[in-house]
Amino acid sequence: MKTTLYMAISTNGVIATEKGDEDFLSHENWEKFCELAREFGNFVVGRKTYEAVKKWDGGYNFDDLVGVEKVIISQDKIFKLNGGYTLANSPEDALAKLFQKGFQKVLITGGANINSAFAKLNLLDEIIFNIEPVVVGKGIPVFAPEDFELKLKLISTEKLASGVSTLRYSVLK
Amino acid sequence: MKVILYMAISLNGMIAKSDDDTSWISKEEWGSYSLAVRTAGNLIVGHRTYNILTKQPEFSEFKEVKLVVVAQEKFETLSPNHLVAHSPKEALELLGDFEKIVVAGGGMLNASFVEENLVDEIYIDIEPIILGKGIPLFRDKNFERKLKLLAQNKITDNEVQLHYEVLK
Repeated sequence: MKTTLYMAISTNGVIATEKGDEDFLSHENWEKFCELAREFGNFVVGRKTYEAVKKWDGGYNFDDLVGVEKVIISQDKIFKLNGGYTLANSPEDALAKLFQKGFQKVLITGGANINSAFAKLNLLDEIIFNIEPVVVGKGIPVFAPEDFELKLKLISTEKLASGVSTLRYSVLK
Repeated sequence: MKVILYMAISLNGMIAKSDDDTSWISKEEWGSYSLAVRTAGNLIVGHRTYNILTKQPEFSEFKEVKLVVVAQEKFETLSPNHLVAHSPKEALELLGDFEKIVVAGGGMLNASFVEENLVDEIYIDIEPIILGKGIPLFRDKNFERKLKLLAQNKITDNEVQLHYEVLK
């Protein structure tokens, strides 16, 4: 199994304001997520991200990714999901469920706690960050504070029209 | 007068480990930063960064640099060439003759400069590392500033430099 973490972040590594707003992130980041989700055929997010996206308007909906396996991680074993979503109770469980369905590549995409949970277990192989041209003083960091360190190797860089930088790294193990 | 914030960060926006360790920052990055500081001829840092920076052997490169330490309390510097200011604005006033001014940490000083709209350009050198815990690029201030990407370069095969203008 190979895992890829994709996130859109501010230049200083913030994924949402303290209140949870992500208005500082541009539409291109969502498009990149959809492109990756279709390429991988799956994605994994945490329960908070799942609930946050459900409240968004303006055409941002995980339901639109028809045919893409959607795995939500929650420690609540009886958490009620809409149809078309699979519940997992840990990073390992999420990967096992997708492996059983025949996937070799898994896309992980937030939030902060899930990202750190995968990082701490050393379950991240590749990282793709879209860096938005904005600085956000206080907010939710891309990795919730935990004791871990990942050494990376830069694979590629890209500059998008909106000023977003796409940086792709492999995680050295 | 153009004020430049120049920092090396981990990919997730940390400027040091929790214990102030910055040994993960490469020589090449230091070279790029040092050149920017020496070219400007000046540097503004917070008192904690000052104490860390002045202990580095590479600090000898900054002999000719006019250094301003921002500290709230009385603060003793190591050299008469190192001045003390009590606020970001006062620090800039002390360097009023310079065309370019470099601000470089730590997290609280960076945040104060951006929050007070005193920064014109930002250089971010991204090291190929993620630190689960550490000292963030900006600390304790609530603000949001849009940037314009001016350039995206590589310092080495493994390090990206992003150069932004702060939109006002």
